[in-house]
Amino acid sequence: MIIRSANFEKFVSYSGRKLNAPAQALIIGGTALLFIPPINRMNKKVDQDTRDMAVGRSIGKNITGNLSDYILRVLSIALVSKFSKAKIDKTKEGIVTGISPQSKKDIFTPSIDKNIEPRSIEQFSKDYKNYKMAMGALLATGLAIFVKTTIELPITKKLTDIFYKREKARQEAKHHAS
Amino acid sequence: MQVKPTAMTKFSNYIFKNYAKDSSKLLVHVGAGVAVIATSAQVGMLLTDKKLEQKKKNFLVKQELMINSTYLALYYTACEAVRHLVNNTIEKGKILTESCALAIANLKNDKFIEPTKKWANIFTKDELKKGISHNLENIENTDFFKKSAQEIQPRIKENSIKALEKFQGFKGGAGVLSVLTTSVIAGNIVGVYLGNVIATKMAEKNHRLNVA
Repeated sequence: MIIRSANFEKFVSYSGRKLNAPAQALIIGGTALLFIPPINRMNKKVDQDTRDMAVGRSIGKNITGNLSDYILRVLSIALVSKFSKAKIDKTKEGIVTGISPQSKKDIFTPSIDKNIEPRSIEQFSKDYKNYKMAMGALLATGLAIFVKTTIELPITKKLTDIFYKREKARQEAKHHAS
Repeated sequence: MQVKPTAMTKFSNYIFKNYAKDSSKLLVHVGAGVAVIATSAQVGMLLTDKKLEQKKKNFLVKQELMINSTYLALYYTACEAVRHLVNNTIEKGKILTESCALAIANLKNDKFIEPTKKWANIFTKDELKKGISHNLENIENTDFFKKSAQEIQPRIKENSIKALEKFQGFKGGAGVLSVLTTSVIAGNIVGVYLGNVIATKMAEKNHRLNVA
């Protein structure tokens, strides 16, 4: 099947370039806030108080979790970018044949001189940007072990309390109104 | 400056080779890793919360474990399945954009009357099984290249790089969009619903055992 819409193709290629790991945290977090609390609210098989707590927790957990994932990923990608300056070998036609670190500081720069897939310098720049995103996102996942157990948990707890109380008040107001 | 390969360089090379071209693969793997870490932390928080009454704690711990296990199982299997399906469909040329088809059809810079149909005749059936990317990356190994006149072979090589860029831009975007859509449906809707059902059943069973 051939897709003939140029706008569709532009949208797909744009998404591939722009929807990276930090954007993933925001999209997953935003949709989680939209869908999870109503699903928890619909679970009539548990008592009202447990249900309110489940709703409060789903809001608190998703705000803190995804926001901290977003911040961590952005910071990690910036850190990787700072230490991944590269010396690029290319032919006079502009085909990349190798990559190596510019200096000893560039600990995140790959070093490939053979078996590198031939690609133009423009394509290489796009791929190298993707690589920095990938390395940054992986670094962020490692750092998440520390952040999630130390900084995130107390904030989640506080937010859960706030949203639990709000949900309880909301359900009580609904109960009184009916 | 070629550096002596250290563990970090080897790791960087591995990430470059495996993730630089396929962002959707990274999104699936990072999403799964973060879900495991977040679940462990959240369960730890619930278990150590002394203010939480036992009945509520029992349900919330089960809910957290069930929702996240279901989320992870669904997220990983569904996202990987969709990612492979989309990649295979596009690599085999079952879905292609007009500009990709044109770029492949015009590797020789010929002017075809209906180039979008012509693209499929560039590679043999056996070559196409290996994927469009593979053939464009190794154009000199294709029948089409070997049968072409020597004087136009450099032009074909040059055009194959441009076609590959166009093709991978579309394939990468389609992969990312499909993985994100699947992760929202599997992780934030179906996984949560099923997790709630399982956790409630487990809590009910425990309650019955405690009463008995």
